[in-house]
Amino acid sequence: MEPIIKIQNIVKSFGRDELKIDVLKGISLTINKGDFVALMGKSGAGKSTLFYQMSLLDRQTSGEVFIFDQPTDVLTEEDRVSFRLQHLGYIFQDYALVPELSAEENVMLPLMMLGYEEPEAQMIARRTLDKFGLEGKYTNRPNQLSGGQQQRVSIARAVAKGPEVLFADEPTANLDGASSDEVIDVLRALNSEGQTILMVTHEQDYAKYCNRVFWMEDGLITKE
Amino acid sequence: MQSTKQSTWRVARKLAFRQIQRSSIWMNILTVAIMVLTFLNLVLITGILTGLTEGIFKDNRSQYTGDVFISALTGKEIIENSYAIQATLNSHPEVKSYTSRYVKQATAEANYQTRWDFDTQENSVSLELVGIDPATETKVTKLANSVTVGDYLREGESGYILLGADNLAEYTEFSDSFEPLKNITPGTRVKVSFSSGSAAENAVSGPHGGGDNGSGVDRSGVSTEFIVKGIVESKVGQVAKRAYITTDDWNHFVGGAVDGANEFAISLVSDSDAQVVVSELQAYGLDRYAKIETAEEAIPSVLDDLSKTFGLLGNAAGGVAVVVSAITVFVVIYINALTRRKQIGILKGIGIKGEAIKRAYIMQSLFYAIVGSLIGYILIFFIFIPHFNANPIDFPVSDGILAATFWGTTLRALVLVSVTAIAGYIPAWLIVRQNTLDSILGR
Repeated sequence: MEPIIKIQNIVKSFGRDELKIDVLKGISLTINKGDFVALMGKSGAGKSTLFYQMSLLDRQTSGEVFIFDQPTDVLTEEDRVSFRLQHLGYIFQDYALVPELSAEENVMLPLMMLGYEEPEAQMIARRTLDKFGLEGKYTNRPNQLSGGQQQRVSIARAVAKGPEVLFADEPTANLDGASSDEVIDVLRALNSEGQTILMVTHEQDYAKYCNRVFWMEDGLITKE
Repeated sequence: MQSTKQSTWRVARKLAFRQIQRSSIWMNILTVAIMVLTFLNLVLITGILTGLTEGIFKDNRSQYTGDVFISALTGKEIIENSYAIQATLNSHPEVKSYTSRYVKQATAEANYQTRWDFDTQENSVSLELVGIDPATETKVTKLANSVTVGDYLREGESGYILLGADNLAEYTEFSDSFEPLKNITPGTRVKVSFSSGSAAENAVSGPHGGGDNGSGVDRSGVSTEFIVKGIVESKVGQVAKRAYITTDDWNHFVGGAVDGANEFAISLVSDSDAQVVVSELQAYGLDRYAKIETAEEAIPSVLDDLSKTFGLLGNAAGGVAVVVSAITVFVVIYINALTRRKQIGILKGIGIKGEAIKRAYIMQSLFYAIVGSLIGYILIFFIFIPHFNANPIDFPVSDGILAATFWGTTLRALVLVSVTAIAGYIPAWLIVRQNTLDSILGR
């Protein structure tokens, strides 16, 4: 068991003084390489907030987030951007594709930022899109794709650069049943290849595919 | 693999290109149109104001001074040793032609034939009477073209006069301060008098009348009658307020009083540098006898001041135009970036450097500014300048053209592009620096 993410006593508060609200109340957990983790809970339980702390999109009020045993508190905002680019992949609920770019360009963008030449980035992007059943959709812009297809482009963008951890924030929330199943199948396939995935979801049906499920309630993990 | 610097530029370029390519065509057209108008505002206002004064200089050169102008020293009525100057000009290789002018303050009276007593008001005007050689004058200046009514003087003819329009009520609007001559048309007779002491001693009868022919009162000692041959209309005050007779008549009228010329207007061969010629003439020692100046130097100082004032006004107007364009671009880019705030947050979230995003917006701003400037260049150099050259603006003091040089325009374009780049950078910077998660969640 090789730990990838370790969080210790994470607290996240909003507001000040009497108006201060602790959304996360001291959470500690470890995610290991190859885990497919589901974060579940009711609305307001704090699962998205925990997701943002672990994925370095936000800073905790107190506690420590270690990724690859490195403390992430010391990273500047710029370092965090580079860290996210090099090591982490993201799938958002609303796909978060750049509307002006084609499917392949959306996938190419992080690769080009990593330093790949454009033709090489294009080759990798197309190969990744093919893998997710998007052959022939390379030049389609997001508004020319269905929701399921857009989410698969989003997954392709996240995994094309080979991240150590894939963060998925309610990836099926905006999709119909069939499309949701497709996306979960893609994530399962990735996990079976060794991809570590942390997913926030409301869907209990999809949690069953995860090897670890954390239940959250009122800012705490109540059950694993 | 590329360096981080290279990859930042490439990602910025990709984002900028696609955002321009795939944003609304009307938005692009509107933004470029604003940039074109700003650029035109920047160049046209200054160019027209400068063109107005350039027109004054141009008109002065072509109608009055020539390329080099020689006039009497301050305090002297005539140019002493005029013959030495003429001899030098005759042999100077860069002098194409020159004209000598003889000038004397005089009075022209229109109603002397019908005014039978002292109670009737005299319709006369004080003016500069100039003796010219019509043929050589034409080689240097466009005086002949300025005769808009009637005809120009012919060499050797006698008894005719050209009157500057500023002396005539029908042509001048500035008649409050003096009483111009009324009802003057070609063929009208006028009596011209002057009150020079030396000339008075040499009072002569003119070709069409005597010193006092009974039809007017000669109180100055020298007067004669001329037939108006033409009216000289010009926006150059020095030209329009004078009256012109031939040197033959001058010699008859003023007689032996001609000790020397009062002015020489000189036309140089093409490509000559007027300043160099002036320096050479001064080096010959001619500046002991006369004031030797280039056309620019010879222009009255009030016009020079006017030129500088217009230049300042033009620059001020240009400065305002630049500020307006900067604000416009700022607003356009700010709204653009603000509406994409979530997208910018997501780009940062997936690891796209803020610098790449900011550069994408700078590139967009530069695109609008460069395209706007290029269209502006085309409009200015291929449409406006040829148009204004062919149809000068009819200003009261000159025929205004659009004065815009390539390098002056390029400098303004560079200012516009630089200011636009900054105006594009600031809103992008404001949005990019926001917290990534706040941008993604839109809070």
